[in-house]
Amino acid sequence: MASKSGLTGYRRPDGQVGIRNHVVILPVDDLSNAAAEAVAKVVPHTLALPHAYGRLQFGEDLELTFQTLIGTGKNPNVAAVVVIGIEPKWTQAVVDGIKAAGKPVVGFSIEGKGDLTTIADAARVAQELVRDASEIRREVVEMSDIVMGIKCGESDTTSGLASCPTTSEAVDRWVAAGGSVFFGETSELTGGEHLIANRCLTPEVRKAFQETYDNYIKVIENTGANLLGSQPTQGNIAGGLTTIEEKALGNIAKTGSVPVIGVLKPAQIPDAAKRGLYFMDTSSAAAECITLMAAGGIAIHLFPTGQGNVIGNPIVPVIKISANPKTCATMTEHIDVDVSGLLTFDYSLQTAGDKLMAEIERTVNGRLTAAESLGHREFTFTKLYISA
Amino acid sequence: MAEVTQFLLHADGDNVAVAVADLQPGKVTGACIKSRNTYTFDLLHAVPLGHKFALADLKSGDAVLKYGIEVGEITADVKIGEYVHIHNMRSKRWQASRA
Repeated sequence: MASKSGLTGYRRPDGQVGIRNHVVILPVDDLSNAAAEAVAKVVPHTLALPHAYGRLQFGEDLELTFQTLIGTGKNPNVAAVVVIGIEPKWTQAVVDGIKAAGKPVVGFSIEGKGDLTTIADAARVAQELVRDASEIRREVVEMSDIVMGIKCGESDTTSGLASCPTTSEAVDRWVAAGGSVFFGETSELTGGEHLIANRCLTPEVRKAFQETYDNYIKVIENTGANLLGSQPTQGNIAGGLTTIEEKALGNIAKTGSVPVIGVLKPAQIPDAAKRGLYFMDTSSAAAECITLMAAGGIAIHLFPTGQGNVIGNPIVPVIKISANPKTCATMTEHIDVDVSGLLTFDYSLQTAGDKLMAEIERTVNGRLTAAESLGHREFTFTKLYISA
Repeated sequence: MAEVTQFLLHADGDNVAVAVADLQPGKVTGACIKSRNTYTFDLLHAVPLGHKFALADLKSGDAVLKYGIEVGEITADVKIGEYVHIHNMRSKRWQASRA
């Protein structure tokens, strides 16, 4: 299995490469969570993804929920999907969307049958899908095959000093090797958005970025609200951060030095042939952001934290990197890579980057992240507006 | 480093620095994380790990510089060596956001 990269993964029918092999039980709506979770209890090695929405949504908000569900099913870390919805029509829409990825996907709807019959029918199919998925073998893959996400959380000033620059090292190496990386957190570029705009590869990308940023900020500023305690969060402030500008510059410190080649809508899957650093329009809330990026196709995620955000994702391994020595000492079970030595010049940024790359390689090849081993499965939808 | 690094600057020319240990008032030594230039200041307040202090006398309305870039403005005069946090600085971009 040796390769230049030392990496192995699961190549899916659409050519995308995953690093986990989940069989997902995906509810279309909140009403179907109970049946989905029951199937996952009956059939070990399946993964139910309960969530809070999917009813009475409309327009762009409904489209984003569908895109999040379909993108989650298409994610290369997912081998096969059982979709369960209350009604047949929207259930079929999600099944059809996932089917485009060429992987096994079967839908069940509850109306006219009830939970118990649906659970029995879905469990029989799920059992077969799990047995089939168990035969899919890892193969040698390259960095360029694997899409990576980056997002930081419960940041403090150590994030901008050390854990974000370490992540930046990995971003530059990943893109140099031909891979793709997504960053997001639209509001959290405020004060440094010009730095991102200046890195956009073409005038078209720059225009798309600026419009996306301006639209998001307009929504926030139009509320006239005092955001202190929300953005930056109380944790950010406790960690020494004071303003959105200060937080943003730390955030941007993790995005590498490579050009921004494209702007993605929330949960959008980019053209697999165009690889590089993408900006995705997302909330800065960790679970929302990673859920959207997972629907966009990331297989692995890097998460610098200062005060100790405990985030995970059900289908994407999330690697936590911290440079806060107190957090690394008090929250050891959550931190995958401790780079606090950067604050005291114990080693170089390149050495910290090497350490992170080694952890990425092990995680790609199957080692569980701290978040995976603790059962962190935050699956959180972004809601654009009220439901009808 | 001959001495223990107690604080870091992102860029030479910044007017705030970040404590990388819980600091007590008195002489403190640190460096710029990029240039590695070293600095010594008389700290006037206790400053917890991750929090900031002023590297110059700053007046209300002055820009706070970190990473060589404006990250906010001073809202109450600050002397060199004093603790800088949300009680004496705020966002310039989000004017509605204040302590």
